[in-house]
Amino acid sequence: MKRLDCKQILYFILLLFCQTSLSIAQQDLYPFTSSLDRDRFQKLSYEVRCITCQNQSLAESSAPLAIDLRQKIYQMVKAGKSDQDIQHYLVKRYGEFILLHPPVNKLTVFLWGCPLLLLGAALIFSIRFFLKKA
Amino acid sequence: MKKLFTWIVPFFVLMGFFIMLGTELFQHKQDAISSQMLGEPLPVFHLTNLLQPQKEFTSRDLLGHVSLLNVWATWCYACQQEHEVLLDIKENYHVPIYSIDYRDKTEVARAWLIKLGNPYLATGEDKTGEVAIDLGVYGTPETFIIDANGRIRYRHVGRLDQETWEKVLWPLVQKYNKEVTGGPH
Repeated sequence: MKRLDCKQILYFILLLFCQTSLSIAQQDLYPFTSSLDRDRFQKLSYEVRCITCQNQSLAESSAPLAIDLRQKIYQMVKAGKSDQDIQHYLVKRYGEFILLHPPVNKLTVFLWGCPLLLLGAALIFSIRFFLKKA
Repeated sequence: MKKLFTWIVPFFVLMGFFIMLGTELFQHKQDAISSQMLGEPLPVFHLTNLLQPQKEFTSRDLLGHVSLLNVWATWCYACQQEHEVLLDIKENYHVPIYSIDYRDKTEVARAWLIKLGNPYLATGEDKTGEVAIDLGVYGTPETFIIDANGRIRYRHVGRLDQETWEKVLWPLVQKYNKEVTGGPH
């Protein structure tokens, strides 16, 4: 067989580059025309819980329902729905549980307040403790 | 005073904690994911009819009578278990049952209904899971009660057994049936 000349090697390398760019193009599952929408979609898919896996976000999960929900959010973002609209749509169907970052309300005030309460209690106890020692 | 802080306070904190864990463990409801869809109109959908592909199964088909809407799939083990209950409801209670076949293969689903019997008046194929999301379904099987005006009245998550049907769903179906015949129409 003939030895590969410089030109052939160059072509081969060029061909390799073509392939990588192709494979990168394939990875873009959710094409957007506006980068603002893309950011919005990405942010939302990290804030929404995958219901069937419970401790993963939609962005991280490959469960069928997560894929479907991602597709739904993608369509809604493309249709120009606001973040609030999309979140409202999801909460209406799946409850506040679906948001990984629960809103502060009657039900969650204890959840949000607990760290502050504990911190306060710890502070009081440690102050008392050190005052007694001194 | 010192004893109060070192023993009684931690005791009550721990008690509270255990009570919380206990209720979560034993009182926790399976369908705890709340649906604010109750009382809302059924989302509009147009699906291919599984057994009559030239026809459509749409949300309009459910108007005019109280019915059940069952979401199932052939790959779902619990669906197979509840199938007999659905056949019994059709035979002995004469409640119209519609269904949505969720993320399934057409041929497999047809064979399944032929083998196990078909309790459904009509079945729509939801290949993409889009309608299921509109309904807030997060697993199969799920069963909804739809009133004559096409509003979602009840949602049962998981396998429907005879006892739950008799004690919970059947009384509700009767109640909404009375509303149809009793009220102005």
